[in-house]
Amino acid sequence: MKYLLAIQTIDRRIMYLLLVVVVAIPMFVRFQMPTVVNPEVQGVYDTVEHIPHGQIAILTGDWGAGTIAESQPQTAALMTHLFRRNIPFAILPFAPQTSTLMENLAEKIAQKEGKKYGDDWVNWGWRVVPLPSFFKGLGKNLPATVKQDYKGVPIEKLKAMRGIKTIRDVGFIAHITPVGGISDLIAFAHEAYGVPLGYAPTAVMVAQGYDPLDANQIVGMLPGMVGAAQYEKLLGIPGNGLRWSNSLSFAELLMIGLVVLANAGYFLSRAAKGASS
Amino acid sequence: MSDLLHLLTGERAIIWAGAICTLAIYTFLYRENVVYRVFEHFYLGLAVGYGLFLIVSEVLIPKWWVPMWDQGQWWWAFALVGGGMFYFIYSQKHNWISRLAFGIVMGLAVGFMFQDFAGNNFPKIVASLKPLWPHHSYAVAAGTAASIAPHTPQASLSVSGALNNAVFVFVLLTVLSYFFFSYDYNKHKAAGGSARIGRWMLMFAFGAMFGSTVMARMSLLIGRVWFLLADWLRVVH
Amino acid sequence: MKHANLSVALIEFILCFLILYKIVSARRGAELFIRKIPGLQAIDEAVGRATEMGRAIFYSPGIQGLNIVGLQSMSILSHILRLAAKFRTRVIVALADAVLFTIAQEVAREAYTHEGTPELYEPQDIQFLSDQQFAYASASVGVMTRERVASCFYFGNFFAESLILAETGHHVGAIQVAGTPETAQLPFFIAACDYTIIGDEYYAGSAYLSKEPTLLGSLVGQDWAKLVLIACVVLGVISVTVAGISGGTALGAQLGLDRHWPAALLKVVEFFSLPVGG
Repeated sequence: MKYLLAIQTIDRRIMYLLLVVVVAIPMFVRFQMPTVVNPEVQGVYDTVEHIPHGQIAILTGDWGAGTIAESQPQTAALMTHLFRRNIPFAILPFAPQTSTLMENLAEKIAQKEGKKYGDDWVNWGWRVVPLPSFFKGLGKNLPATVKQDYKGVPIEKLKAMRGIKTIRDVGFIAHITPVGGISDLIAFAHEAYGVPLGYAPTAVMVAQGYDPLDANQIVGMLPGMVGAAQYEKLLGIPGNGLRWSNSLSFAELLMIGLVVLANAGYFLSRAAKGASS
Repeated sequence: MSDLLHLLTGERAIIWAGAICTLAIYTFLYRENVVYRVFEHFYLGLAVGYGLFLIVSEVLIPKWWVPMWDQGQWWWAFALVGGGMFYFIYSQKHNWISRLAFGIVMGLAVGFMFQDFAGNNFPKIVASLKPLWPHHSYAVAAGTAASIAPHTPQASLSVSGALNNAVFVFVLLTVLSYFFFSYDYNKHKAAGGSARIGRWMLMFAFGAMFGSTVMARMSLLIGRVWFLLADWLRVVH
Repeated sequence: MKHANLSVALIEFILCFLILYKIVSARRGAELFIRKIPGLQAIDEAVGRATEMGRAIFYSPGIQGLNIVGLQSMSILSHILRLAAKFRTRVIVALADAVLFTIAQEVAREAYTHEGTPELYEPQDIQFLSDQQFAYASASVGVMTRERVASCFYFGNFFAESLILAETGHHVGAIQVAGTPETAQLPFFIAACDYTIIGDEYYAGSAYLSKEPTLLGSLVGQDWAKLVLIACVVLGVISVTVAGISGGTALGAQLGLDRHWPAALLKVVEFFSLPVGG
């Protein structure tokens, strides 16, 4: 009876410790849990795969250090895919911290893929203009609206942006975010100009993506770290997404185990009480 | 001296600072304590300082001061008047001036909301118009339904697809009925029953959504543990 | 750029007309009924609990700034402050937006003055914590734990910080009432809070609490607008179903539905579609 009570009232600090241990183990041991690719991830992959040459992609985002474990692998997977397809992309950060984080990440991946700033990607820099008017500007005259990159270089001088006149020359926009915001892009980029949209939210915000997915307003979604892992699988490049998703699976197994244990304790102690009375 | 400066500002020093902050914040998991409190205020101070720095370096100087002062776009001076209007909230006598500024901001927001509403919701309404009876694919007269290609109902529909659609429409209507506020459910039994079912449906959905939270929370922890083990302790690669 | 076509403009006009019509009739004295919203009724209970325990109330309007949701939050805050002022209970408001911060100060000053207790207004209880998401969450957690607040209210736009706040409130044993139009955050509030206001109930909050005719009229008008949309959905579902039967089943022929039916019926779907164009 004492033990049955104990498993229902495990100190939360012990559970936290167990969790850290369980999360850390897969980081030391190299292996890969099976990963199945969901249709929504496949949708984003297929769209990127079919961006016509001569068009660019835009990677927007407002993530920061707080959600690096989810947003960074998502961004890395999308950047790698675009680099490999030789589709130039523009980084459009909606927060200043995102600009630095995405730029650093692009530079790191570019080194591996042999790509160069200005030729293969540009960073438009953090914008403080309202999204609706900015996208209306992109619809009329993209270079005049963006004007310069984050270093102050006029975008006409950047090879990646040559021939890009309006938003109609944009073949894909992906929004990587911990706070949603996809509805604005749907209204002002997809519905207004028909640009295909991909959504890469943190797992907390995933629910927000299913409505537009059902209405074909987005082509697909990378749901949190799992979405990044599935994308890495499609690309055939095991990165942080796949590696960290092992820890995620272990943590979830621990939680399921604790829930089962506590419930078993509860029902067994109830049965024991019933028998004794 | 330069070595010391390098040591204090180099990448390792930044990683050490990050690790100490992470561990200090995690002490809260044991219990609320003075270390957590100190670092909480440290974090707040940093965030406020960072925010202030950004406003000056990324907004005021490049977007306002440089165009106005260096590029001769004198009309940007009016932005100061507009921005200053907000501060009249502190004046008992001229409070109305701040209300004017807030009114303009709200008016602009509402204007954009109209396009946002139509752009976001009308395609969702179209996507909700789902056929409920299985059928083969069929063609319609040329020119018809050209604009509804992504939501085309002309594609074939299987029995399971029709069932899915029926569940979708049922849930949509019952949930919508839950959000009626001007009906007395005691008097309108049918509306009350539908709203109750709608509430149940919402709870099912929320339960399913909760699962993804666990995933997100664990992801945040995994990111920090990786930082501590790989970047700080360098025991995993 | 695509613009709204005639049908979309027509529907928007009908929706606006219904809402304005109900507002005008409410202002002319028409009696309007609003059903009970349990989460909002729980506000009184939560304020009462803090009063009994002699501890503070914690209020968070979320991390976004001045928008419709933020203004609704300020309206609910005003109601809570007035209630708390009556019982001389302290309310700590934690803010993450500078503009909303100034509005909250104004709302608090007005609420205490309205209740005849201007001396109870403490400017330091309306706190700007940080505009950074997790710095705000961390500071809020600190405030809630140190003050051992008895009641927590979360009304506004919340994101990943929602569960951090609600878990802490639960941990300190506070009675918690939450409301947000952010659907993705509702499950966490439902799991961790005592009462949760769901989706549109949030927008109904200020009308329900203030009983102000303009807001009540708007709420009832929105019900009518929803009825119109439900009618449209039902009509559309029937149309596409019959179109499918007549165009792609043997049953269609048996029922005498010829091949012209689908084309006519799918016009209903087209009515709602934004035009393709550039």
